[in-house]
Amino acid sequence: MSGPFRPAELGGRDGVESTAVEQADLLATAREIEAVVAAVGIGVSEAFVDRVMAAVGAEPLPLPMTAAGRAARRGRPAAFALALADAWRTFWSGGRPLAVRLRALPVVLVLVLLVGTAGGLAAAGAFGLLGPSTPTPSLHVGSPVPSVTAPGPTPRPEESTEPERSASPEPTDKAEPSESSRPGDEGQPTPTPRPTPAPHGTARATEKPEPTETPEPTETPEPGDDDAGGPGGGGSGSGG
Amino acid sequence: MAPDDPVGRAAVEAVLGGDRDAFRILVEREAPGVVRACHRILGDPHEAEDVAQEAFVTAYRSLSTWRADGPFGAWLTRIAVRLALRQAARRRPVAWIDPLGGSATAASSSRPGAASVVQSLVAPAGHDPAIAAERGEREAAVRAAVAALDEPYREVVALRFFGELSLAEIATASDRPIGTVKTHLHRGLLRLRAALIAAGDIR
Repeated sequence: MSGPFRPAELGGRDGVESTAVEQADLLATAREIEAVVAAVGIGVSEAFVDRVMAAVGAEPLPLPMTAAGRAARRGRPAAFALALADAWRTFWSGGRPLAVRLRALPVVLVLVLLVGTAGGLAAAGAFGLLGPSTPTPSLHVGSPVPSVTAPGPTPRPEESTEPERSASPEPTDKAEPSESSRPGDEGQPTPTPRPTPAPHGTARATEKPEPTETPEPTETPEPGDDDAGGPGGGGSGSGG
Repeated sequence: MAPDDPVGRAAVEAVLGGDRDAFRILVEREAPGVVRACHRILGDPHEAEDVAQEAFVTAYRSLSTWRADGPFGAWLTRIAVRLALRQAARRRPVAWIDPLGGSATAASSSRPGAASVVQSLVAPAGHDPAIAAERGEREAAVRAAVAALDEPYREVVALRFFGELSLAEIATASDRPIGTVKTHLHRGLLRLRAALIAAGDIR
């Protein structure tokens, strides 16, 4: 807080030399401003703090990493560079709390990594230009990769569309005969509810049906139990 | 000047550590000063609260850049004053029609007739409306003159008088040498005086 202005504030060490007339002018001007200051009362609405906290609640935590990440996500290179610079300054300049500086450490590491990678690549490029034998393997390696990958994508879309259409009817064709023919061949009326297990094996229906369905007739008592249970339920209903 | 602000420092560390509610301590402590500074620059309490809220949110976003080498309030006041000055600069001059027969006058600082009429309608009993109107005009003229100053004089004058910061606090918050701040204030006040004299607001 500062009190009323005094021309002596501007003097002293590193101060400004001013004449008596200037000092009078400075004082008069300062009094004009202080009249404005005095006219304004001290008043903050009661809801102000809650309003600010609500606005702050909508913000992400103020970490350098968050700011850099947000800038990167939004595709703002200037904001990203600014966040990196802020983090760098936060980490290296003194006076800030240790916890605050540590929060900036990940961004600083990313920055160091980026600079290191760029420097390494530049050095590798420089060495590559200097060394005569190195370009030949790099060209041999480079040329087949695009030639292999380039034709690759063109047939793939054709293959990918065709099997999609042919694959979808296949399961249905397999499922339909397995359900209708197998129980019908056995001719037993009791297994008719058994088509329910048959769909479970739709994928394996063509191979498994014969061995797996042989034990099934032995399970015919189960429908019998169901039949017994059915009237029982009806009995309970009639009894009620 | 308070060289260190342990409460502000602890609160900022807590916020940066993930405790968002710790920011409430800073808001409750600094809100009166920040709103007052904005009110002095803008002259409107509602607008002042809006700008003060924006200042708090801006400060929250860049909390990790606070160096903790001075009071948190000084750093926050600088943000608020800059936002308020920017808001004041955005204002368009309003044409006021003098109901007593004068021609339309531009700029909020010179509106003789309308201001008198409005003041006479809203002034409470016991106050001389003419004096109140004259005072209102004078305050508006000083505000407009401060807002019209060039940088960096405008910021230093606003921080010293509207933000109530000492010169040492201004030097710390704005990262300038104290001698530079003194020079800026000296020149700023002299330029302000020249502007007020030119506008006929002081003799």
